[in-house]
Amino acid sequence: MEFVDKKLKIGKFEFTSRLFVGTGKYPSPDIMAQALDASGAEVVTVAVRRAKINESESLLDYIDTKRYVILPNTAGCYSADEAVRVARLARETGLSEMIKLEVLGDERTLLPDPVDTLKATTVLVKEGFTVLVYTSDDPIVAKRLEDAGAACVMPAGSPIGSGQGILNRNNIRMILESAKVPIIVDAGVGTASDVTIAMELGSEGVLLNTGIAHAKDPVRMAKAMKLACESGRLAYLSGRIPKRLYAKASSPEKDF
Amino acid sequence: MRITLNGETKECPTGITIDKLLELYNFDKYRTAVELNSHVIPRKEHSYQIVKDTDVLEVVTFVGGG
Repeated sequence: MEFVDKKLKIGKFEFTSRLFVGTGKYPSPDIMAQALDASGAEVVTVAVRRAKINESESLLDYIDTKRYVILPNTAGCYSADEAVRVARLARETGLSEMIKLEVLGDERTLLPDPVDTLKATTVLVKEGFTVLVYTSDDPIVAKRLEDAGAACVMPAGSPIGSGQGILNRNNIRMILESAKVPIIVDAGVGTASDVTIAMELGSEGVLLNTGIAHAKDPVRMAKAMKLACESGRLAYLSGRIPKRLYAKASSPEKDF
Repeated sequence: MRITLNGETKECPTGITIDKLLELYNFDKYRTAVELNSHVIPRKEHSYQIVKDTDVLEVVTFVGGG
Protein backbone atom coordinates (compact mmCIF):
# COMPACT_ATOMS: atom_id res chain seq x y z
CA MET A 1 0.00 0.00 0.00
CA GLU A 2 1.25 3.46 -0.87
CA PHE A 3 0.67 6.37 1.48
CA VAL A 4 0.51 9.86 0.09
CA ASP A 5 2.59 12.45 1.89
CA LYS A 6 2.77 16.14 1.17
CA LYS A 7 5.91 17.34 -0.54
CA LEU A 8 8.71 18.96 1.34
CA LYS A 9 8.70 22.61 0.31
CA ILE A 10 11.80 24.75 0.71
CA GLY A 11 11.36 28.20 -0.77
CA LYS A 12 10.13 27.57 -4.30
CA PHE A 13 11.57 24.04 -4.41
CA GLU A 14 9.62 20.84 -3.74
CA PHE A 15 10.94 17.42 -2.87
CA THR A 16 9.53 13.95 -2.33
CA SER A 17 12.57 12.48 -0.60
CA ARG A 18 13.23 13.86 2.86
CA LEU A 19 16.78 12.59 3.02
CA PHE A 20 19.51 14.99 1.91
CA VAL A 21 22.89 13.42 1.40
CA GLY A 22 26.43 14.79 1.29
CA THR A 23 29.04 13.92 -1.32
CA GLY A 24 32.22 14.11 0.81
CA LYS A 25 34.58 11.46 2.12
CA TYR A 26 33.46 8.42 0.09
CA PRO A 27 36.02 5.70 -0.68
CA SER A 28 35.61 6.47 -4.40
CA PRO A 29 33.42 8.56 -6.69
CA ASP A 30 31.79 5.38 -8.02
CA ILE A 31 30.75 4.28 -4.55
CA MET A 32 29.45 7.79 -3.93
CA ALA A 33 27.31 7.61 -7.06
CA GLN A 34 25.90 4.23 -6.03
CA ALA A 35 25.25 5.45 -2.47
CA LEU A 36 23.41 8.55 -3.72
CA ASP A 37 21.27 6.29 -5.88
CA ALA A 38 20.53 3.89 -3.00
CA SER A 39 19.66 6.77 -0.65
CA GLY A 40 16.83 7.95 -2.88
CA ALA A 41 17.97 11.52 -2.16
CA GLU A 42 16.93 14.32 -4.49
CA VAL A 43 19.18 16.90 -2.88
CA VAL A 44 22.93 16.43 -2.57
CA THR A 45 25.34 18.78 -0.87
CA VAL A 46 28.70 19.84 -2.27
CA ALA A 47 31.50 22.12 -1.13
CA VAL A 48 33.07 25.04 -3.03
CA ARG A 49 36.82 24.85 -3.52
CA ARG A 50 39.55 25.96 -5.92
CA ALA A 51 39.30 24.21 -9.28
CA LYS A 52 42.51 22.41 -10.20
CA ILE A 53 44.52 23.94 -13.02
CA ASN A 54 44.69 21.69 -16.09
CA GLU A 55 42.57 18.96 -14.58
CA SER A 56 39.29 18.13 -16.20
CA GLU A 57 37.95 15.42 -13.87
CA SER A 58 35.15 16.71 -11.68
CA LEU A 59 32.86 15.52 -8.93
CA LEU A 60 30.03 16.61 -11.19
CA ASP A 61 30.97 13.83 -13.64
CA TYR A 62 29.45 11.50 -11.06
CA ILE A 63 26.33 13.51 -10.20
CA ASP A 64 23.50 13.66 -12.69
CA THR A 65 22.34 17.25 -12.30
CA LYS A 66 19.05 16.42 -14.01
CA ARG A 67 18.28 13.95 -11.25
CA TYR A 68 19.80 15.66 -8.22
CA VAL A 69 19.42 19.20 -6.98
CA ILE A 70 22.82 20.55 -6.00
CA LEU A 71 23.00 22.21 -2.60
CA PRO A 72 26.37 23.95 -2.22
CA ASN A 73 27.58 24.57 1.30
CA THR A 74 29.78 27.22 2.87
CA ALA A 75 31.71 24.64 4.89
CA GLY A 76 35.04 25.85 6.19
CA CYS A 77 33.88 29.43 6.63
CA TYR A 78 34.47 31.04 10.00
CA SER A 79 32.95 34.46 9.40
CA ALA A 80 29.81 35.91 7.82
CA ASP A 81 31.90 37.67 5.15
CA GLU A 82 33.65 34.48 4.09
CA ALA A 83 30.39 32.55 3.94
CA VAL A 84 28.68 35.26 1.86
CA ARG A 85 31.65 35.23 -0.53
CA VAL A 86 31.44 31.46 -0.97
CA ALA A 87 27.66 31.59 -1.43
CA ARG A 88 27.97 34.21 -4.18
CA LEU A 89 30.59 32.11 -5.96
CA ALA A 90 28.45 28.98 -5.63
CA ARG A 91 25.50 30.74 -7.22
CA GLU A 92 27.65 32.08 -10.05
CA THR A 93 28.34 28.53 -11.25
CA GLY A 94 24.74 28.64 -12.42
CA LEU A 95 24.11 25.22 -10.88
CA SER A 96 22.15 26.19 -7.77
CA GLU A 97 20.10 28.96 -6.21
CA MET A 98 20.04 27.28 -2.84
CA ILE A 99 22.79 27.57 -0.30
CA LYS A 100 23.51 25.53 2.79
CA LEU A 101 24.84 28.28 5.00
CA GLU A 102 27.40 27.14 7.51
CA VAL A 103 29.39 29.62 9.59
CA LEU A 104 31.52 27.77 12.05
CA GLY A 105 32.83 28.89 15.41
CA ASP A 106 35.99 26.79 15.71
CA GLU A 107 37.75 23.87 14.11
CA ARG A 108 37.65 21.48 17.04
CA THR A 109 33.90 21.51 17.62
CA LEU A 110 32.75 22.68 14.17
CA LEU A 111 29.84 24.17 16.06
CA PRO A 112 28.11 27.09 14.36
CA ASP A 113 28.84 30.70 15.25
CA PRO A 114 25.31 31.96 15.93
CA VAL A 115 26.11 35.67 15.60
CA ASP A 116 27.81 35.43 12.20
CA THR A 117 25.34 32.80 11.01
CA LEU A 118 22.51 35.26 11.61
CA LYS A 119 24.45 38.07 9.96
CA ALA A 120 25.16 36.00 6.83
CA THR A 121 21.56 34.77 6.67
CA THR A 122 20.29 38.35 6.60
CA VAL A 123 22.67 39.33 3.80
CA LEU A 124 22.01 36.27 1.63
CA VAL A 125 18.23 36.46 2.02
CA LYS A 126 18.40 40.08 0.86
CA GLU A 127 20.38 38.92 -2.18
CA GLY A 128 17.65 36.47 -3.12
CA PHE A 129 19.25 33.21 -2.03
CA THR A 130 17.18 30.29 -0.79
CA VAL A 131 19.01 29.85 2.50
CA LEU A 132 19.10 26.53 4.33
CA VAL A 133 20.93 27.41 7.48
CA TYR A 134 22.97 25.10 9.67
CA THR A 135 22.65 25.97 13.34
CA SER A 136 22.96 24.51 16.81
CA ASP A 137 19.89 23.00 18.46
CA ASP A 138 19.15 26.26 20.31
CA PRO A 139 15.44 27.06 19.83
CA ILE A 140 15.90 30.81 20.19
CA VAL A 141 18.65 30.99 17.59
CA ALA A 142 16.55 28.82 15.26
CA LYS A 143 13.67 31.29 15.62
CA ARG A 144 15.92 34.25 14.91
CA LEU A 145 17.20 32.59 11.74
CA GLU A 146 13.65 31.92 10.60
CA ASP A 147 12.73 35.54 11.31
CA ALA A 148 15.74 36.62 9.23
CA GLY A 149 14.20 34.87 6.25
CA ALA A 150 15.87 31.45 6.15
CA ALA A 151 13.86 29.07 3.96
CA CYS A 152 14.85 26.13 6.11
CA VAL A 153 16.52 25.84 9.50
CA MET A 154 18.87 22.91 10.05
CA PRO A 155 19.76 22.23 13.67
CA ALA A 156 22.62 19.83 14.40
CA GLY A 157 21.71 16.60 16.16
CA SER A 158 25.28 16.54 17.49
CA PRO A 159 28.65 17.84 16.22
CA ILE A 160 29.43 17.36 12.50
CA GLY A 161 30.81 13.91 11.73
CA SER A 162 30.57 12.81 15.38
CA GLY A 163 27.98 10.09 14.84
CA GLN A 164 26.49 10.78 18.26
CA GLY A 165 22.92 11.00 16.98
CA ILE A 166 20.41 13.43 18.43
CA LEU A 167 21.73 14.51 21.79
CA ASN A 168 18.90 16.79 22.85
CA ARG A 169 15.54 15.66 21.56
CA ASN A 170 13.78 18.19 23.72
CA ASN A 171 15.50 21.10 22.00
CA ILE A 172 14.62 19.68 18.59
CA ARG A 173 11.02 19.33 19.78
CA MET A 174 10.96 22.94 20.95
CA ILE A 175 12.36 24.09 17.60
CA LEU A 176 9.75 22.06 15.74
CA GLU A 177 6.90 23.35 17.87
CA SER A 178 7.38 26.98 16.92
CA ALA A 179 8.85 26.63 13.41
CA LYS A 180 7.03 28.03 10.40
CA VAL A 181 9.69 26.88 7.93
CA PRO A 182 10.85 23.29 7.44
CA ILE A 183 13.29 21.96 10.04
CA ILE A 184 15.89 19.51 8.81
CA VAL A 185 18.17 17.79 11.28
CA ASP A 186 21.68 18.21 9.95
CA ALA A 187 24.85 16.62 11.30
CA GLY A 188 25.74 14.03 13.87
CA VAL A 189 23.73 11.16 12.44
CA GLY A 190 25.57 7.90 13.03
CA THR A 191 23.16 5.21 11.97
CA ALA A 192 19.68 4.51 10.70
CA SER A 193 17.90 4.78 14.05
CA ASP A 194 19.20 8.34 14.47
CA VAL A 195 17.44 9.29 11.24
CA THR A 196 14.26 7.59 12.39
CA ILE A 197 14.30 9.42 15.71
CA ALA A 198 14.72 12.77 13.95
CA MET A 199 11.80 12.00 11.67
CA GLU A 200 9.60 10.63 14.48
CA LEU A 201 10.07 13.89 16.33
CA GLY A 202 8.52 15.62 13.34
CA SER A 203 11.53 16.94 11.48
CA GLU A 204 10.78 17.61 7.84
CA GLY A 205 13.96 15.89 6.79
CA VAL A 206 17.48 14.79 7.65
CA LEU A 207 20.79 15.77 6.08
CA LEU A 208 23.79 13.53 6.54
CA ASN A 209 27.11 12.64 5.00
CA THR A 210 29.67 10.85 7.17
CA GLY A 211 27.17 8.27 8.49
CA ILE A 212 26.90 6.91 4.96
CA ALA A 213 30.30 7.80 3.48
CA HIS A 214 32.33 6.27 6.30
CA ALA A 215 30.19 3.19 6.89
CA LYS A 216 31.97 -0.05 5.96
CA ASP A 217 29.44 -0.52 3.18
CA PRO A 218 28.28 2.99 2.20
CA VAL A 219 25.82 1.83 -0.45
CA ARG A 220 24.01 -0.54 1.92
CA MET A 221 24.02 2.12 4.65
CA ALA A 222 22.54 4.62 2.19
CA LYS A 223 19.62 2.24 1.65
CA ALA A 224 19.27 1.80 5.42
CA MET A 225 19.12 5.58 5.85
CA LYS A 226 16.47 5.86 3.15
CA LEU A 227 14.26 3.26 4.83
CA ALA A 228 14.88 4.80 8.24
CA CYS A 229 13.81 8.21 6.96
CA GLU A 230 10.63 6.80 5.43
CA SER A 231 9.88 4.75 8.58
CA GLY A 232 10.32 7.68 10.88
CA ARG A 233 8.14 9.86 8.71
CA LEU A 234 5.38 7.26 8.55
CA ALA A 235 5.52 6.74 12.31
CA TYR A 236 5.32 10.49 12.88
CA LEU A 237 2.31 10.85 10.60
CA SER A 238 0.64 7.81 12.21
CA GLY A 239 0.72 9.34 15.70
CA ARG A 240 2.52 7.20 18.23
CA ILE A 241 0.92 5.94 21.46
CA PRO A 242 1.78 7.85 24.61
CA LYS A 243 4.46 6.38 26.87
CA ARG A 244 3.08 4.86 30.10
CA LEU A 245 4.82 3.81 33.25
CA TYR A 246 2.74 0.64 33.75
CA ALA A 247 1.70 -2.19 31.46
CA LYS A 248 -1.54 -2.33 29.53
CA ALA A 249 -2.67 -5.74 28.26
CA SER A 250 -3.17 -6.20 24.54
CA SER A 251 -5.54 -9.14 24.97
CA PRO A 252 -8.99 -8.95 26.61
CA GLU A 253 -9.26 -9.98 30.26
CA LYS A 254 -9.57 -13.75 30.72
CA ASP A 255 -13.30 -14.43 31.19
CA PHE A 256 -13.70 -18.16 31.65
CA MET B 1 52.21 39.58 -17.84
CA ARG B 2 52.04 37.87 -14.50
CA ILE B 3 48.86 36.97 -12.63
CA THR B 4 48.01 34.94 -9.57
CA LEU B 5 45.68 32.08 -10.42
CA ASN B 6 44.38 29.99 -7.55
CA GLY B 7 47.39 30.93 -5.48
CA GLU B 8 49.93 30.15 -8.22
CA THR B 9 51.92 32.72 -10.21
CA LYS B 10 51.26 32.32 -13.94
CA GLU B 11 52.55 33.98 -17.08
CA CYS B 12 49.81 34.70 -19.56
CA PRO B 13 49.24 36.78 -22.71
CA THR B 14 48.47 40.47 -22.22
CA GLY B 15 44.88 41.44 -22.91
CA ILE B 16 43.47 37.93 -22.34
CA THR B 17 39.79 37.67 -21.46
CA ILE B 18 38.50 35.53 -18.61
CA ASP B 19 36.90 33.18 -21.11
CA LYS B 20 40.21 32.60 -22.89
CA LEU B 21 42.06 32.23 -19.63
CA LEU B 22 39.67 29.49 -18.50
CA GLU B 23 40.24 27.75 -21.80
CA LEU B 24 44.01 28.13 -21.53
CA TYR B 25 44.08 26.32 -18.19
CA ASN B 26 41.43 23.73 -19.07
CA PHE B 27 38.73 24.84 -16.67
CA ASP B 28 35.16 23.83 -17.44
CA LYS B 29 33.35 27.16 -17.76
CA TYR B 30 29.98 25.60 -17.00
CA ARG B 31 31.16 24.17 -13.71
CA THR B 32 33.23 27.01 -12.35
CA ALA B 33 32.84 30.49 -10.95
CA VAL B 34 35.43 33.23 -11.14
CA GLU B 35 36.53 35.87 -8.72
CA LEU B 36 38.77 38.68 -10.01
CA ASN B 37 40.52 40.71 -7.32
CA SER B 38 37.90 39.58 -4.76
CA HIS B 39 34.90 40.42 -6.98
CA VAL B 40 32.70 37.69 -8.40
CA ILE B 41 32.53 38.11 -12.18
CA PRO B 42 29.20 37.02 -13.70
CA ARG B 43 29.62 34.44 -16.45
CA LYS B 44 28.08 36.71 -19.05
CA GLU B 45 30.97 39.13 -18.56
CA HIS B 46 33.69 36.52 -19.06
CA SER B 47 33.85 37.07 -22.82
CA TYR B 48 34.87 40.72 -22.48
CA GLN B 49 36.44 41.10 -19.02
CA ILE B 50 40.18 41.57 -19.56
CA VAL B 51 42.69 40.22 -17.06
CA LYS B 52 45.47 42.66 -16.23
CA ASP B 53 49.03 42.34 -14.92
CA THR B 54 49.16 41.49 -11.16
CA ASP B 55 45.46 40.54 -11.11
CA VAL B 56 44.45 37.88 -8.62
CA LEU B 57 42.02 35.25 -9.88
CA GLU B 58 40.20 32.51 -8.06
CA VAL B 59 38.46 29.84 -10.09
CA VAL B 60 36.28 27.60 -7.96
CA THR B 61 34.17 24.53 -8.55
CA PHE B 62 32.20 21.97 -6.56
CA VAL B 63 33.91 19.17 -4.68
CA GLY B 64 32.60 16.51 -2.31
CA GLY B 65 31.16 17.94 0.89
CA GLY B 66 28.45 17.56 3.52
